Amino acid sequence: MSIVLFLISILLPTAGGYVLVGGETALSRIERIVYSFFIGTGLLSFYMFSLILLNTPISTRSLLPFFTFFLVIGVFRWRTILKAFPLPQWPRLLGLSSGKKIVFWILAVFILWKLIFMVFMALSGPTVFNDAYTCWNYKAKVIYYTHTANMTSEGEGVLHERFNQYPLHLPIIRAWIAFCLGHWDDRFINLYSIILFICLLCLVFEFLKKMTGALNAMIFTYVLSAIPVLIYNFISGYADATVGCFFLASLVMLFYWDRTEKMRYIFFSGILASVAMFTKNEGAAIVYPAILSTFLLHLVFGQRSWKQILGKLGLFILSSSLIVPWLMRAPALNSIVAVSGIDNTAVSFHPEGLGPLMNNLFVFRSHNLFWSGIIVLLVWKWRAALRHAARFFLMPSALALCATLYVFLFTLNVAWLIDGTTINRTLLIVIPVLALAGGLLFVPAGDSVVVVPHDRCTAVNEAESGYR
Amino acid sequence: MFTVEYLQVKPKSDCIRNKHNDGCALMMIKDKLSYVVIWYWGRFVLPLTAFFILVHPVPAAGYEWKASDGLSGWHVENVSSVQSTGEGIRIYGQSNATDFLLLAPEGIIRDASYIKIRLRSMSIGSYVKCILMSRGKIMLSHTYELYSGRSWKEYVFDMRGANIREHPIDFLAFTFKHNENVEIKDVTVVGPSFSEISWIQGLQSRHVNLLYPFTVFGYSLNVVLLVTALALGLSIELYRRVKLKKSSLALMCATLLAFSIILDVREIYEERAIMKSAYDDYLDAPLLEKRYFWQENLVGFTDFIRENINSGSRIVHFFGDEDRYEYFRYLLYPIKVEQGKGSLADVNAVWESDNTRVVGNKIIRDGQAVADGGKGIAFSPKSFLYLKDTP
Repeated sequence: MSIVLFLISILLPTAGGYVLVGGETALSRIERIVYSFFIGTGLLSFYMFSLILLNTPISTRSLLPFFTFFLVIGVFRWRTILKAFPLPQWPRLLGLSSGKKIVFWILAVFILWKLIFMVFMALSGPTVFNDAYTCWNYKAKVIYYTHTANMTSEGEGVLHERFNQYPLHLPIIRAWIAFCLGHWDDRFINLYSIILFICLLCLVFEFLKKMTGALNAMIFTYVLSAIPVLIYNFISGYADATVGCFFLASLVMLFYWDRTEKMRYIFFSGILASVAMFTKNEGAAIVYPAILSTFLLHLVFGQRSWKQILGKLGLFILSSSLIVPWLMRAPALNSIVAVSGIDNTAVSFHPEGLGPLMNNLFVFRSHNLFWSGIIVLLVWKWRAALRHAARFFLMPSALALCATLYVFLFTLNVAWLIDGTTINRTLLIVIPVLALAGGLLFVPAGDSVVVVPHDRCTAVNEAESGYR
Repeated sequence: MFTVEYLQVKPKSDCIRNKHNDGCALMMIKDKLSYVVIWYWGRFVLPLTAFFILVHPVPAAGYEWKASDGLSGWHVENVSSVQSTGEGIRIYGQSNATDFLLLAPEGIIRDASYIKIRLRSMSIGSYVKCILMSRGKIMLSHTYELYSGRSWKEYVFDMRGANIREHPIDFLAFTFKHNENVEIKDVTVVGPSFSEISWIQGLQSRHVNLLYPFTVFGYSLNVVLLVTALALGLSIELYRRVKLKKSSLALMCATLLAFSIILDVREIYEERAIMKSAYDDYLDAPLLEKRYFWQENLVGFTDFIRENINSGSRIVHFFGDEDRYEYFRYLLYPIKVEQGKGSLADVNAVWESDNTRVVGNKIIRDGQAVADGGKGIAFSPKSFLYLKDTP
């Protein structure tokens, strides 16, 4: 029964998100589901947070308006949504020779093992990792049992004495799952992170498949799944890899806007960026500036009038302003400042961090050969890196990486680099985007890939597969 | 890239039969590339993969003792009895001693870089220490806290810091502290050799069963593979200039991917061990023997407390270390948990640590009795539910 209730807790917000994203034929069917999940859960967490701010207890009654709202929109959009409703479809390995198919399926088996491992670990027992039981899941448990959150550091039903500055997306969604289950069960609460991981892999695979082909997509999806620290971060129920998911999702949406000029992709991208900020403060300190600067750059150099630029920029800022109520809280702002190291009077280069950084990136096996591989690829395919598709993702990931390295090499946060803990986690924010950018280095020369409505893609692919 | 038109008229089999057909030029390049990739994988990558994955290197200057064969010259001190268990030997410490020793036969171990011991113990808060002795002096020692549970766990001691040339090793000893008994499966001593790189560092971490979330050690395999990949990359580039232009990147990527898979196989080895540990120590274990990774039996302890307190109890005082307190608080929520200090609540949980003990009917903290006269119910030898006397 619990598994059914858990699925309901996932499907309900996903259905809400699908009302918004379901009609987007430029996205593949799987992409639409993934984005529905991301946007649905993101909006749900903001809604539940607003209930907390309004001192309204979280209950079926108070949650009803949220789902009613999407139901109403769904009624108005039912034709568009039904037309693009995803039907089960066996993945076709378009145009792959039998040798490549073997490689494809071998890699798929490796990924499947990772999923089995992660699901097993999630379902085997309670939360065991420190930050999860001191912060993320603890807060979720408090929200679930008190039906609200006291965000001060004292009084009845205190959310947490020490971690008040940490955003609430994950705790709220985990509390939501517990509401649906009707009781607190660590196993299903942690399973949510595994769903996020699956969504991340689907997003990378689907996007790269569209851009560069199935085998290349599978290779880079596998590369991502073979990063041990990413796997453990999802298992542990921490927030860093989740921020990475939303960072990537937001950028992919911006990419779709860049290719199609449809304003609603800016809107979705803004929502996802705000969810990234609501997941962890690094979202505001590292992710948002990277997304915003990428967006600005493409706006300004896109031969648009000032009116268009301001309109699009306004829409992006408006849609990402969902985070404002959270940011208005002083502890949150202070924490972002602390993450960025702006207030750090001792800003100076810490060369003692370079050795541990090299160890973490290249010597320890926490990241497999990811960083070496990316560097080799960038050197080998530097021309491709300058092309539009790869550049679109390389630029924000480089910015985010620079911001991360600044925090760890130029502030007293170097201590967390030397002990090899937080640095690995924080890099997970950048890794998914970088992996996608790595895959895009294989976009054919001329950068002729155009995002076309999915139905047309399918038609073209089916026609081509017929010849093989 | 294939074109649709081409593929319509020229199936691959025709191309292979008629190599001089102009229409097949594109396919022939593809074939040649495939041939080179297959040749390259077949001759180099696959054998190398097999070497790393399948070959179990024999330690060049090593020594291995399987406890199932009996003590075989090893001897013990402060021990009440030694039993053979089939898979190994179980050593019981004397009740009045805080630790007991296992000593290797003298003169057998001359050279050691890594010393691995595989054992299991149900004791909580116990330690194993590995000591290298030379001329009556301790040259080097390392200590690990043991993770209790029913599954075998490996502890690898890095003894590279010992100056073996100037001080030859006389003997090796393991001391077990705060252990009631420990079951030992085997001890492996590996001298400096290539096997260190491929097996000890690459395929075994310091604790195979330790779910270590942030930085997983075992670095040399990465370095070896990375250097090999880069060296190969340069060779491939050279080959490209001479022979085939298109193959360069494909071969380089194939190399990196293959090496990435090798590392992933190593990771899967660890993941399998983690799963086995979770299954044997927690899921499949009887109630009182359940252990959940480094949180030992704290999960069971909180269940025990829930069952044994009145439903009206709202506050539990916890006596134990800070880390355990946070986890205890999480598990027991919504029952409120406060860190026990001087006074007693109606319900008190005691998790014995270095500074907290229960002696008789007293909770002793930092040498001071903080509670006396209540009723202690033991969940395990080191964890107690302590109920305040009610008038």
